[in-house]
Amino acid sequence: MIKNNDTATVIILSLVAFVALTYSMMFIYQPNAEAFIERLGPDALTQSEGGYFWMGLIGTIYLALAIGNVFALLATPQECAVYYRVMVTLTFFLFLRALWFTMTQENASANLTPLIVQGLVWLGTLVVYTRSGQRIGTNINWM
Amino acid sequence: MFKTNDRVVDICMGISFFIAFMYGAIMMFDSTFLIDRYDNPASNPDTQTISIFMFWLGAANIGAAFGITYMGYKGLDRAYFAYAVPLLFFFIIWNIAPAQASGNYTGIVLLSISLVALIIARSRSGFPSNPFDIPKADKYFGTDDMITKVLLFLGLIGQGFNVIYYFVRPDAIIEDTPVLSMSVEAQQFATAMMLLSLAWVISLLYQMRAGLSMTMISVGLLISTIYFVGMINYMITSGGTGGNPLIGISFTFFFVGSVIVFFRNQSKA
Repeated sequence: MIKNNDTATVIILSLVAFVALTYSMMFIYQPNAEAFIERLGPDALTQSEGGYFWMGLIGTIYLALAIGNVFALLATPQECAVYYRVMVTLTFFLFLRALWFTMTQENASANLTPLIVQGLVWLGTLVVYTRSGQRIGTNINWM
Repeated sequence: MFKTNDRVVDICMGISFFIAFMYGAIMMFDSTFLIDRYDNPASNPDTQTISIFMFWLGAANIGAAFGITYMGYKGLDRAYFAYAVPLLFFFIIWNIAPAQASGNYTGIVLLSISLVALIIARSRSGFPSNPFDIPKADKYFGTDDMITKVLLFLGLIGQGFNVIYYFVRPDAIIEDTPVLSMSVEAQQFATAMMLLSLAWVISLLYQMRAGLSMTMISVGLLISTIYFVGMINYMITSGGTGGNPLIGISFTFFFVGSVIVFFRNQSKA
């Protein structure tokens, strides 16, 4: 059923799908989103109703990504080439964004969890892409 | 689709998919839509309690829709019908009380359409028309893998325990869960949880005799993942209070067991 024969890839895609599903429910349901904002620490921006609405939209995108990862498990690596590239690009940008926000926060007690999780997801997608043997170019081939 | 080349089967399964997915999406993402439409003027239940129950039922509906999608690629599977047909029948009966109390019979009509569609699809699938004419596998669950066998037996025992425990203490799931509040409606949903378990017991008994079904294992994996993720979110939101340890342990075992069974058997599907 799972067409990808690389165990590391299967584990990473499954874990990322699980995390994406967890985040989707965290953002879609307002009480969960309120708890998420609360735990981001004192520097987190106060959310209005509109803010929670947009968090719900991001949660929906997370849900689609979780399903996308399951689809990627059910297809051969060659069929997933574009998906892997999109995921590497997306997670790289998200990691840079998390890094920028963490660096520019004035309060030193900022919650580092989003940065660490985002970095791990980016590394995971890099490993998946590299192990699929479809990397073009050698600039970051060491991964 | 469904490896039958029969347009009627495609349409019937499509209708059943649409109804299951629609109810799943509404129950999981906008439960107030249904709460408003099944309002009983004589009662004022706690909406948070009903929303939590609806999330559970919604996940089961999404699981049913996923099972149809799975069969669309892999072909019709008797184990799915052994699960879905009794479940729909139970839920039509279950829906009578809320329909009478609110005057809204939409649920009964849609579930009946879904049930009829499934029965038509099954009748054209080439399966034996007698539902009790079940071929016997060489071994229990048709597998040599002892871990799979033990986990499926544990699943059967666990779901059977849910059903029996309901008849011993019908209000247990509500009374033992601080976040849930007792009302007539809440008790009806507690009954729905028991009916879900009963459908799983029927499906697992079928698989015990005929051999395990990857359709149902995949459905179980999806539902258990949603339950587990929902539980994690609830624990984060509530700060670890208001939950029911027994439900938490059940969801965790359901999820871990489903993951193990799925990955040990997926290569055969």
